Parts: sequence; C-alpha cells; structure tokens
Amino acid sequence: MAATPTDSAVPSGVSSAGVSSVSVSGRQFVLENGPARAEVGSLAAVLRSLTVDGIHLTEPIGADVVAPMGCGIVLAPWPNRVRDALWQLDGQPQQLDITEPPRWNAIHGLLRNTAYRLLAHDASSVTLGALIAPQHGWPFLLDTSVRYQVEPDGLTVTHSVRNLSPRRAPWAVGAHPYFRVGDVPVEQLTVTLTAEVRIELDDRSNPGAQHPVDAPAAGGPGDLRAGRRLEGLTLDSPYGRLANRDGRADVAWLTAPDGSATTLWADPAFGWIQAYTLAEFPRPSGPGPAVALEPMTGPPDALNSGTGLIWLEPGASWSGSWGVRYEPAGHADDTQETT
Amino acid sequence: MTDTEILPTGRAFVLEREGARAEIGSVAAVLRSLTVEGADLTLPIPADRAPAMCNGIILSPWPNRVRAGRWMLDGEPQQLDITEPARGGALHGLLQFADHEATEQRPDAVTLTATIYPQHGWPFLVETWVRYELESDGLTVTHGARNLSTARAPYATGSHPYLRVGGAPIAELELTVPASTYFAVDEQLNPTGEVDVTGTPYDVRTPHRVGDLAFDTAFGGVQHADVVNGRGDVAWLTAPDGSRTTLWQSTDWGYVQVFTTHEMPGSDGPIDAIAIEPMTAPPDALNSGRGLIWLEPGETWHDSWGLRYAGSA
Repeated sequence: MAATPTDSAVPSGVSSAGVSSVSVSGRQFVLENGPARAEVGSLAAVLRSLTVDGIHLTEPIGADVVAPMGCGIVLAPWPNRVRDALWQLDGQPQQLDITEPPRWNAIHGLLRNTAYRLLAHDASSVTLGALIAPQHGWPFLLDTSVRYQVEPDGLTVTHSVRNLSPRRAPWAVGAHPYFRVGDVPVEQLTVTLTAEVRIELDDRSNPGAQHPVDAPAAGGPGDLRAGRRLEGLTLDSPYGRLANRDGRADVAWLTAPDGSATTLWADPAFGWIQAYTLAEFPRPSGPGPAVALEPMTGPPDALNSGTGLIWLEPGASWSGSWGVRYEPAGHADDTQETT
Repeated sequence: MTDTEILPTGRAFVLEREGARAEIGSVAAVLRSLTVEGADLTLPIPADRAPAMCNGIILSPWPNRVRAGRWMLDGEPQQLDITEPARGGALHGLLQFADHEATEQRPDAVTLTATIYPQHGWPFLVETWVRYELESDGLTVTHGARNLSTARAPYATGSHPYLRVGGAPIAELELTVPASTYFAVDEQLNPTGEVDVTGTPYDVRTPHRVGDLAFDTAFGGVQHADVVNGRGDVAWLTAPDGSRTTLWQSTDWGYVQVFTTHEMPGSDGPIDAIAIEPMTAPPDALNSGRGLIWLEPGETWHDSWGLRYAGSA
C-alpha cells in the first residue's frame, strides 16, 4: 500500500475549520420567518425540513444522511428520466452518463452530487448557486441558482438559470419534496391533484401514452381532482394540465382528516407534477408510507419529446417559482375540526 | 450570479513565476496550460473550450476504469454511475465535471478543493484538494484527501495531462518510461493481468519514437529515476533538438498510463497527442485493491507529481 498518512502536513491553503463543518448533506442553512422554519443543505440544494408552528410540511431528513429516495433535492437541468440517457441535439446523438444503471437511464439531472456555493443569505432566505459545465451528453455551460425564501405560512422556491454557452441550450428543472401534514400518518391524508392528464410509464419508468385522467383507457389511479385518500393508493406518474395554466395557482394539496392541509402552488412554467408514493420511506421511527409531489417544468424524457423544454438563447436568463403553504384546520368553509 | 467570466472550464486562475506560467480552471481542477520560457509542456486548452479527451483534468477518487461500475465493499455490491456507456464502466472518478473552490491563491500557486459526497456506489464523504505550485522549470501538483466518513474509505487519484515539448511534432518525440510491467486489457479496456514488458511492444524503458506507438496502456513496476526527496522521474519525452519534458512522481505514485491518439481535436482538425497520466493505482483498483490508499476516519493523505522542462543544451 502506497499510503503516507500525514494528519498534520496539509497544505496551508486548505482550511481545516471549513473541512470539519462539512456534513453528508453539505453546508447547512437555517431560515426563519415568524412561525416558519426551513433547513437547507448545500448538496443538491436539498430542502431538509420545513415547518410552520412546528408542523412538518415535508418529510424531515437529518443533516448526516444521504437524502433518501431523492428527498428534497433539486433536479436540474432536467427532472426525472432521459430514456437510455440518450437524446438528440440538432441531429447529433448526445449520450449522458447512466445515473440509473438498473434501468439504464439518466435520472434527475446533473447536480445531484454537487455542493452548491453560497450566493446570498439572510434570516429568512438563502440563495445557492451551481455551475453546470459542458459534459458527456450535455454540451452547455449554465449558471444555475436556487433561492429558498421562508414565508410566515410556508416557503417560496425560485429556480434561476443563465445560459453562458455560445449556443442555445435546453433547460428543465424540478424538485423532489415529499409532503406531510404534520404528524398525521401519510395513509390518512387525502391527495388532490388539479391535473387533467396523466402519462403512462413503462417498466423502465419511461413515458408512454398521455391520457385524460378520467379516460377509461388511462387505468391507474385516475382522476385525483376531487381528492383520493392515500391509503392503498399507489402513484408513480407524471400529471399535467394543472390549475396554474393561466397564472400562479395552487396545483396540488394534501388534506388531513381535521381539514388542515399542505398546499403546493406553482408558476405556470411548472406545468407538471410527478406523483410518487412508496410504502417504505426510511424514517428514524421506522419505514412507512410517503408521498412525493414533484413540481417540474416538463414531463419525464423532455429532452427527447421536447415537451415543456425551455430553450435559452446565449446569455439569456430564466427564473420560475413554486412553493408550499400550510393551511390550518378551519381555514376553509368545507372543513370540519376534530379533536 | 455575477458577471465574472466563467469559462467552460470554470473560473480561471493564472500562475506566474520567473519564466513559468500556468492556467488552471476550477472545473475538475483542470490544468489548462503550462509553459516554461514560452515552451508548452502540455497541450493547451483554448479558453472557449471544455477539455477534449479529458485533457488536464484530475481523476479522483479513482483514475481510469472500474469494471462495469461495480465493486464490492465488505461483501456489499456497490454500483457506480456508468460514465462510459459505450464500454459499460465508470471512468475517471467523480470530479470530472465538479466545480472546485479556491482555498488558496498566490501569484505562483492555487489550491482547489472539492468534497466528494456519498452517492451511487460510493458511500463515503471525502474532502479533496489539488494544489498547483509553479517552479521556475515546471510545476508541482499535490493531490490531497481527507476522509470525513465514519468508516474507512478507499482512495486513488491521478491526472490526465497531454504532454508536449514546446512546438516539436508529437510523432517525432521519443518516449521513455522506466516501467517493468504493463497491464493487459480486454476489449472494454479492463485489466486482465500484469505482464512483464520484456520482449513486448510495451517495453519503452529505452527511448521509442511516439509516432511508432499506439498505447492506451497502464504501466506498473515503475522504477523512479534520480530519486531526490522521495520524488523521481517516471516518464519523459525528448525532442529531436534534445529539449525534454519530464514527468516526475513521488514514489507513492507507482503507476503511469500512456495514451496516444491521432484524434485530438485541434483548431484545424485532428492532431496527434500523447497523454502521460500519473496515477496512484492501476485501472480497476477498486476491484483489485492494487495501489488503493485506505483512509481511516479523519485521516489525511497527500502526495505529489510534477512536470519539468529542459531546453536543448
């Protein structure tokens, strides 16, 4: 073994203080605004927790664990999958790295293992930036950022990008939050999705046909516009034609039996939601059901279908927001309080 | 976001010392150019380009390939992302496109730092850095790593410079590598065995014209020459006029990969190029264990290689 361990002889430029503060989810930031509080890690700009009055709106994860099942991470420059990790640019095949080897796809963009750098930070917000350099299957230079702004009733997340390439570049972005309504068991929640269409997925989780959610041929869980209780419900599909087509609007929400709710809103650019349930989300108290509602600017495999892709001219910038809001019990006329 | 110029190789750092000059980029801590008295020691990367064929990048936490991207850790299979889909392997580590942070800047030196986070097939948290320091006749490159995991972590590292001797045509250079073995490979370029170079086309212990070579070959049994302070010469290219670019390595860097190509993109079409890659471990070291540095929790390792230029006498 050709090892020369020398604990003391580190070059002078390397800050041992900086080194020792690194945790598995990167550099840590705590944001507060009135009763609301968020924790963010720099790795994949991960949203580690979000609470209002101590009520969890998302699945909380520790600073010292790898985000389980993509929990809380940013998905850029594409959310979800690229089939075979292969796409075409002006007739030229572009081969991305295979980041989902069992299904031989490229999944969740290029920043999953990147620690963002700090651009700005105050008591209630943080802005984190990450460069996407030209690489396998991705011949573009993009400067990207994410801003988390805690509001008294929730969180606003703003994704931005600037194309530093001499050619136009495609862009898509999303995030991977798992939602909660406090301590209410997830299976007791009702999920409502304003989507009018759903895309079928094949056995490699790549997209197939698109159907109206109420079409008999669509199969699966179908129409969620009136709400469905999560118990026994299996979701793993992209949903589109949301309620935000004409402007920022609530697009999906989880409602507890007492009427309290966690609501996802989004700008029109976030026209898609990947809904994903799993039975065994790892928690310190033991595995249990969880539900991800992933706001996305495009559906899976957008680099191939072109659907929802945002094309950025050289030097052009783009920015778009989504967010989460907590609705206490009794906030609306049709809710009923329980004790 | 600021308007500070960002290149495809990231933020640029220029080092100068006496007659020597180097340009470094923050992405993959890439060595973009190195000159002594105006003579190129490496193939420069144009400012508006990403590194072609891995030119100048650092290779951590492993150089070269991991077969099928799979290896075993304490009996558990580890599946890395497949970063060379055509051959089905994981090539050149996890920092190939990582933007590094400058943690030291001087007129003649820069240290670039990147943390490798736990990810597919790599359950370790490792802080890494690369320090470039100019010498009057070349460059010293120090790679470092500190294991921030709670378990011991394997580590290997390398770099991917393409060497030149000023403007001398690559085909006319003579290559010498004082290595007694090479690693035979299969069609996916994964190693099948370590072989004595004697009597093979891979015996370049005496000078051989680069134009006569077709290598994508890892060398072992490296006999560091003229060792001073634990550092010795492991490969050198000599031009017809006697000028020379030399790769030296610490004696802990026991391996060298040599790669020749006629397909390096140039401004006027493909050009000849030769990469001579210092490595602490041979290809597929995560599977063979060869040359792996095992870092205990909290343990730090660092060691150096470098380039030196000598003009014609």
